[in-house]
Amino acid sequence: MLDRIAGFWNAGNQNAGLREELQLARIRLKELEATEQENARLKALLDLTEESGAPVAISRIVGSSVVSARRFAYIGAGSRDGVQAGMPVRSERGILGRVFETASSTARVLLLSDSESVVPVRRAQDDLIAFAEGRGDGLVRIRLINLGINPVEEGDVFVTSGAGGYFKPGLAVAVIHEVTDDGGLARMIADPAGTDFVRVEAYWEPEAVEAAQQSPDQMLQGTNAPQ
Amino acid sequence: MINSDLQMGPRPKYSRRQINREPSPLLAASVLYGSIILASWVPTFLVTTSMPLVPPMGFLLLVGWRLMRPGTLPAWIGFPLGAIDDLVSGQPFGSAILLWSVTLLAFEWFESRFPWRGFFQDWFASAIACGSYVVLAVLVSGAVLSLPILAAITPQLLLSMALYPMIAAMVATLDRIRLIRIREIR
Repeated sequence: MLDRIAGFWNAGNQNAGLREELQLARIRLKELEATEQENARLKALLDLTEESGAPVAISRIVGSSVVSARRFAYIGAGSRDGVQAGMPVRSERGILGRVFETASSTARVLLLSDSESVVPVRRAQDDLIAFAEGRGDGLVRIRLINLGINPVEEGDVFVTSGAGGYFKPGLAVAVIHEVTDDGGLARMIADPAGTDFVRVEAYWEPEAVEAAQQSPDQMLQGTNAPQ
Repeated sequence: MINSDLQMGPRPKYSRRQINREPSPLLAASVLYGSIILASWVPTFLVTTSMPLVPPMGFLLLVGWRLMRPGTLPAWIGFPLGAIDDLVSGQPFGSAILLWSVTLLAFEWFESRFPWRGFFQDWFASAIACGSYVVLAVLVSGAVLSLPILAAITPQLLLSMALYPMIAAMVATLDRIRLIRIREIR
């Protein structure tokens, strides 16, 4: 009889002990999952380095405009590291924006969601060309260049088209989440809120960027020089 | 400006330990201006948001000090403090310089006509100032003004209007720290 009571008593103790152990194990498991995820993310960043040549700089997002209606982020690399205005800034997921202006050791990045930001994009599976314009409220507006029947569907992924020479073609930009008359509203694939490390990349086609910065007259003079 | 204000603080009634202790002008100025500068800067480092979310803390604190302790902030202080805010806020340089200066001048004008005041009147004045500041800041920010952007600033607008009691309590606490009496050697 006494043994039985003692058995019950011990079972209760054991139960409580095991429960605590299980909780600790669960916490540990979650920590490991987080480590694994971090591992995958850092590996993605490294792969990225191998696939597309050395970046101009790898840095952290150190701050952002949280008060203003404009969307800027600050990164910890500047003109001293070779960063120049206009260079694309990306995370391992996709495009975040481009460098807006530089100081010696920091730079200000114009994010995709800023209402002044426009990026030439195309649909990932075909060559449907569009512009991705920021709206200032966290969404990106996809505006098709060829109007007509709107072929965009919810869930379509848009990537950079490479036009203009700033961005490398094929970098993820946004996913359509609502179809409108002339394109759609899209969510950014690389959300700056979830990004820690970013890569500043060189211009995709420096010649195109240079040409775009010149006036048309200068370009004509350049091509007609031999005559 | 500072000296006239310092004499307003409560005199200690007795206690020998309080003899020869005066508020320090350095502490008084640095808490006042430092708190506004910190309020402008700190939110920048905390979070990266995809829409304007955080109320303009620097401006809220400026209005808080102006309403709680009239006379401590000179009317021209909108220029240097606004310039510091502009460096980090993401607004074009000059936006806060203009808006903060105009706000201080408006308070100056308003106060000379309606000298009486109370907590709720202060809250009302702060709500009007902060509400119009958030909208005007969008106007001068260079952003394309559109319906989505106006919808995006709504939470910020409401927060900045509702936050005055907290700001007032913060300013009151800081004011006590500001006027701590420190041993003075003459």
